[in-house]
Amino acid sequence: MHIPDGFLGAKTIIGTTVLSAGALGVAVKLTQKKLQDRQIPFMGVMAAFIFAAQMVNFPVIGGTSGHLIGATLAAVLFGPAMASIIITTVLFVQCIVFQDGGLTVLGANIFNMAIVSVYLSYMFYYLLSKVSSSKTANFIAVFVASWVSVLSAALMASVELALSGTVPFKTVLPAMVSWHVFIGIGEGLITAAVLSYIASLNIKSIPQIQDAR
Amino acid sequence: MIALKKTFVIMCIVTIATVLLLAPFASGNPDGLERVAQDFAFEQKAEQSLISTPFNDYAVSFVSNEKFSTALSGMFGILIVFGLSYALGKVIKADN
Repeated sequence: MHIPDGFLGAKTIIGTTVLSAGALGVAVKLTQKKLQDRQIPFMGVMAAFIFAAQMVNFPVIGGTSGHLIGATLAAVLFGPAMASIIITTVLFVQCIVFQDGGLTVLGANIFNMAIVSVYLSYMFYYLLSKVSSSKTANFIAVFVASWVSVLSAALMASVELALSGTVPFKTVLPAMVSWHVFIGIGEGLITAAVLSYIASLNIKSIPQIQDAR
Repeated sequence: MIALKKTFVIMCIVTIATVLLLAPFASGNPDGLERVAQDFAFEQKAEQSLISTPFNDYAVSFVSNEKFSTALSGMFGILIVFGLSYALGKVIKADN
């Protein structure tokens, strides 16, 4: 879902960049208060894992592919503030080093995948996980939240493309949604599987990693 | 119960394995956005990035084997991402 240069207009670029900068500023302030030294290597390896996972496109129905965004994975483990910083770091490196995602539209990509998808999906996860603490309930909470993370990013991208006059909203929205409904299933399964595996390791340190939430 | 350090090592191994074993076999199909851009003919609006590096699009320019090229660029990527995140973490913490 990395938007390339040329797809978005100036106003949309400026708007999303300002919003992203603001949100990241808040995220840094929130993280500053709670970040502990022992969490820093985990921030690093989580970002590295998400970068790696984003390289693994999986095919979805109809000759298209999807890849993990990792917003929900990071948010569940580190809380939304740190997660937005982690995903932003990934997007930044992807843009600068690999030209995956345009430079002028980096603000929009950050807005979609590091801000909106992180915070919205975390809200869903938080609320749904209050329903029950059973393993099944948790799986469902993670799955739904991950699915939401993908759809929300797709929705935002559609809005941006439409506002830029690149493609009409009534065309782009159903098209983006229909592919990302399936891609979101992949995100849900991968995220739930990874979190399940981490839970199974019975790491006494997980609460420590989650301290910053 | 396993300790912090072991967890970190496991995560590193899984990350490296993802890059070396999974990334080179990733689907070549266009992603959702690319597909929509193709179907509704705005794909051509995409411009070349202002930046150019030898790692453009996850291929190492001087390596001809595609799978090896992907794996190598992925390894490079995870090192940079790790380094940058770690440094960022230190900077954020330092201002505490």
